[in-house]
Formats: sequence, structure tokens, C-alpha cells
Amino acid sequence: MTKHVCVINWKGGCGKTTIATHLAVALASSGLETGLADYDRQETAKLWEKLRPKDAVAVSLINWRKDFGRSPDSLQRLIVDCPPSLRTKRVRAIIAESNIAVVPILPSIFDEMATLAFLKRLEAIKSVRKHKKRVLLVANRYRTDRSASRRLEEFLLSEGLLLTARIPEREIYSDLARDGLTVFDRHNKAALEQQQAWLPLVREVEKPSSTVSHGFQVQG
Amino acid sequence: MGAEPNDGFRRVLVSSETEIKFAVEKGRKTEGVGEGTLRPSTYETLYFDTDNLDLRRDRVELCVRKRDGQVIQKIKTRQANGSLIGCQSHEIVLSDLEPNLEHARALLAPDLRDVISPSALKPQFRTRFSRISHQFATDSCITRASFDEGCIEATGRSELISEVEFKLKGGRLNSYTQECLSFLAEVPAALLIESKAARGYRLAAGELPHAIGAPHLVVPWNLPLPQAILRILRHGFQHFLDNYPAVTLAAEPEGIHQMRVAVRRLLSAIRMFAPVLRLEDTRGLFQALKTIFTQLGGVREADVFIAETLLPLAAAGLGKTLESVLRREIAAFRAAAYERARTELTSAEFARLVVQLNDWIESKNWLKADRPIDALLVERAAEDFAVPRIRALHAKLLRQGAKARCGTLDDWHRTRIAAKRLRYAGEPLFQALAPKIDTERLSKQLSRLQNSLGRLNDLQTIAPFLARVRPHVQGRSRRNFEAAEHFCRGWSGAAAASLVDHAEEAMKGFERIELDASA
Repeated sequence: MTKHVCVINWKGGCGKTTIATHLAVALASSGLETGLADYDRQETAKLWEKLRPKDAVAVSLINWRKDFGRSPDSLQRLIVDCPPSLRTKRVRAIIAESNIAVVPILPSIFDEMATLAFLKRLEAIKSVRKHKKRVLLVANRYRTDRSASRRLEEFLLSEGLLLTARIPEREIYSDLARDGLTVFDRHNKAALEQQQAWLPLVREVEKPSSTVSHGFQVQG
Repeated sequence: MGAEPNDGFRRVLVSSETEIKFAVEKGRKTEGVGEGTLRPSTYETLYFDTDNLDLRRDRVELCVRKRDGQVIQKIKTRQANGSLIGCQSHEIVLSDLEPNLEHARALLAPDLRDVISPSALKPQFRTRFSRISHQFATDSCITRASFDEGCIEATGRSELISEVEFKLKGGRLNSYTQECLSFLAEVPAALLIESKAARGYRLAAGELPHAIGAPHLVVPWNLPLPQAILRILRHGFQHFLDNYPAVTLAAEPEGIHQMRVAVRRLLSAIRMFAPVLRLEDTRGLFQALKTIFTQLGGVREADVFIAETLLPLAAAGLGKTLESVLRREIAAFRAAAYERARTELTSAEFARLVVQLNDWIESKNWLKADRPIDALLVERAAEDFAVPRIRALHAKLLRQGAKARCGTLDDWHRTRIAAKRLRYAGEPLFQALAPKIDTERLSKQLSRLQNSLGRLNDLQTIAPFLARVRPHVQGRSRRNFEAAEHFCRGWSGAAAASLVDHAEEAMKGFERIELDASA
């Protein structure tokens, strides 16, 4: 059985592709056969895959713009990079089919409000409403020394939401993306330090479904 | 210390023991061990069992021991899939030499409790030995080295005891390993796998050690990966050492075969799990295992030739003279090859290898932990790791088989290697494919394919094997041997065709089982 994880938020530019590519490479480099389905109209995951060196850890890219819903049975994990929308039936189907939804959020007032509205709309999907889906909230470009990050934490707390992971804002991400790589493809000190930041998310994704409490809850 | 059952008996000791034994020559035994000699003791021990040897069958030892005027009943139990050098030991003080059956029953498995009764339990053999113990402590472990000298006696027969037993009394396994290795660096000792009880049972029955096949191992699909790996490594290693007595004392062909199978199993498992294992410091150990495997290979080829090839050759018209030349020369080659292997296996170097391998397996430090993401491996289920690898090994076997169909005998040989890898590495984890795949059928077809390819391989290796024997053939026999060799080459060429047909049939049967990719 392939475990499906969709990365979704209707707010553009919050780092969906960064989260999706990193999650895919993290799982692949821990020994799982992993696929990355690109359903975003901008096809940035597809571009990333084109840039990726042939000798890097294998992640099978599947173009869902071309062939929606198809994935090899041999995959153990499938990460879906979704478009910034919840309007189409297909996007709602992706969420319904997924075991986990990962929602990236930036520390900014616009992202906070848009994400809150998105989470409320997400609840309209039956399987989410019926507590059968896990929704994990991930702060992207997070900096502990910035007041925006502190405000994000306070805002989420006031809404009863918790962050699963905090991905720091670092140049290494844009530098590596240029070569189709992620921090999981490098073993220098800076990359290993960044890998630690991803572990809470990867661990949460890898938790067997029987050991987690179900429900529409943003888990920390 | 193990948990003590609450059954009202006064115990001397209940413990989990870690011990390893070495056979030593008389007079050399106290060299290489540190200070701290304990008082010498004299032991006389009587071992009990039923006529059907029910206790032995369940890996239980029950004995009554006289030690310096005190009488003690000792029960040792070993788990089939436990640590290689670990066992549970339970002792109570007795007032006389009669075994206390109530104490024994409290410790035995339910089916054994009903079997033992005062009338059913009889003395089987006796050991008498003197023991000098040295106990020495380092910063991280306390080890006791006991030098035993005496004999085992049973029904008019006797066997000498001259051995050293290293027991970990507390602390870290790797420090204990270092103590064993230091001893082996000083003293020319050989590994001793059989306990005194095991030797006593053999002596009583007038038997030599015999080959032991590997028990069927099934690893639950949901077992965490490190535990699954540990089970598989222990299983292969124990199978390897279980056959050590049969190989070194009895030169038994089946024992030699089983020991080679065990090495293959162990190496196949390590190859399969290599992506998650730290193997940087162990290359030398596995290379040494491969060397043993190759050395035993010469003996195995001779055994197969004598047992399985000579008869059809004779039936095909080899002739009595050539047959007897072949039989004699191959037996001589086998004896020389066996002696070389036995010398290696009974060396201190081999004992060091075993001690180091045991330490590597039991220390459980083999799981990769270089990257933060490696932390996930500890929690991962065996299934997650096993399924794609089994599928890859299966796909490789199918590809190789398809190539062999229109290829050469070498291609069939590669198919055989692929089949062995799938079987030895993948079979314990086949449960991860269930219920979508009929794993029993998969195992059966794989075994059938391997047997079929094995027969073809036996035929294929005749020519190179005889070419290796030829230089050792002396004098007038040389001409007859070359004539026999010529005959064998012709015969094997003709016989290969039908065996290739069998291999193709077996391959077809195997191909019918599709590994559904979604399994």
C-alpha cells in the first residue's frame, strides 16, 4: 500500500514545492521507494526533477497534470505537490485519498489569515471532518530572532493550533534547489543541521496510523 | 540477573550467563590471563535425563553437582533463537544427590513438566574436573576465566576435558570480547562450541556430532527493523556454529554443506541490509568468512562428486579401473582439502573471528546512525524495508532466468546465484508479502528452482573441479585420471541438456508466481 501525503495550501508562495521535494528526498534516502506527483500548474517540482543529478537519491516524478492519479504500485510513499487552490474536484479528491495533509505557512499576517481560512475550508471535506485525516502544519522560512515568527506562534496558539516543524530561513535551500537538490542530499555541517529541523515532520509522517490520534488537528 | 520465580526455593544463583569456551592444550592453559586466582575447586557432576532424552531435545541441562562438599542442582536452558553465547542458569542447594523435581518442574516448559518423574529421570553421564578460576575486572567489565581439567565418563567410555571458559560476570560485552581476544593472542586455543553436557550425551550414545539444519525462520512483517535484522543475523550465525562440531570432529559432508549454507545466509542477509548497516570496520571479518567458505568449497565439491556423480558415471560406462582411480584420487584430494579447512577452523585465528563476529552482532551497533534521518530506521517496520528489496531480488532472478533461456551455462550459474540470494536473504521476510502472495508456494517454487539449478551446477563444476585435482595425481594414475577426466567431460556435456530442460521447467513454475507490485 502506498502512503499518500499531499502538500497543500491555497496561499501561493508558502513553500509547497520546497516542503514536497524535501519530504520526498528525506523518505527516499531513508530507504523507501518514494514518488513525487506534480499537480501544480506551475510544474516547479517537474523543473526541480529536471535539474536533479542522475546519481542523486532516486525520487520518481509523476506528472499529474498529464496523467492524473496514476502512480506505480511499487511506490511506498507518494508526495503530492498540490496547486494553490481547493476549488477543483480533483484537488479535493487528492486530499480525500491522502493519509496526511501537510500545510506550509509563512510567518506573515497574510499567510496566517489565508491559512486559517484554508483550514476551515479543508474541514468541509468529509474525511477530514470525520477525523480520518491528519493535517500537519509546518512553518516555512521561520526565524526565531524575528518578531513575525513569534507572532505566528502566538496566533496559532490562540486558534488552538500547533506547528509540527519549523523550517529555518537559510540560503542553503535556494542554493541547493538550483541544482535539483535538497538538504538531504548533502552531508556537510550546514545540511546536517537543517536535516534536524525536518525530523519532527518526517517522524510525524512516518508514524503508523494506529499510533496517532485521528482528527482534524494540527499536530505538534 | 534474571527474574527469580516465587516458588519458595532457596537459590544459590539465578542468572543470565554469557560464556564462551576454548579448547586448550594441557600445560598452556594459564598463560595470558591476569591476576586474581580464586581457590581451586573440584567438581563432580551427574547429568540426568529421560530414556528418550526429552530434556536434551528441549535444550535443557539438569545436573546435580558436588562442589567442595556442597551439593547443588543446576538447570541450564538455552533458547533456540537467543543470543549465541547466552543461557539461563538456575541453581539450588540440595541435601543429597537426588534431583529436586519440584524445583525442576517450576522452571521447565509445561510439556516437559509431565515427562520428568523420579522413575523416568536417570543418570546419563558424569563429569569430574578440577577448576582454577581467575576473576579480573577492568573499568567496564568483570570476567571470570575458568580452567577445567578432567574427564567426561559414560557407559565405560571417557573423554578428556581441557578447556577455558570465559564468563561475563558483569559490565559491557565489548570489554569482555577484548578479554577473550587478549587471551587468544597469547594462547593457541580453539573454539569449543559443545558444552560438557552436549559432549556427555554424545559419549553416552557413542556418537560423533552431526549436521544441524537451520530451523525455519519467519520474521514478523511488523517487527521493528533493528529487531528483524538481529533475528536474521543471530539465526545465520547460530546455524554456522551449530555445525562447527560436525565439521571439525566428524568431517561430516552434510555438516560441511550446512556450514557453507549458513555462511551464505549470513552474507546474503548482510548484503540485503547493507544500505542500513555500518560495515566500515567489518570488511575483514566477512572476508575471513568468505575464505572459510571457499576452503570448505573444495571439500564439498569432492563430496558431491563421490556421492552423486560417480554412480551415474559408472552407469554410463566409465569402467571399474577409471572409477576406482577417480574415487581414490578425489578421496585423497578431499582429505587434504578437509585437513586444510580443519586446521583453519581449529586455529586461534578462527576463534578470534567468531568472538569478533559475536561481538558485532550482539553489540547491536550495526545500524547506520550517520545522518539525522537514520534515526527513523529504529522505528521502521521490517516490511517497509523488506518489500522493495525482495521485489528487486525477485525481478533480478526473473531477468537472469530469461537471459539464461537463450544463453550459456554461465547464465544459468548466475541465475542460481540470484535464486540463492532471494532465498537466503528474502525468505525469512516473505511474510511481508502476504496475504496478497501465496508465500508458501513462492518458497516451494524457489526451493524447486534452486535444487534444479544446483544439479546443473554440480554438472558444470565437474570439469574445473577435476582440473584442480589433476595436478595432485602422481605417477601411473595420472594417465588413467586424464582418461577418466576426458570421459567425464563428454558425459557432463551430454547430461547438461536434460538438466537445462529441468531448470527451464522449474524457472517457468517460478515465473508463474507474480509478485504483485502492490504487495
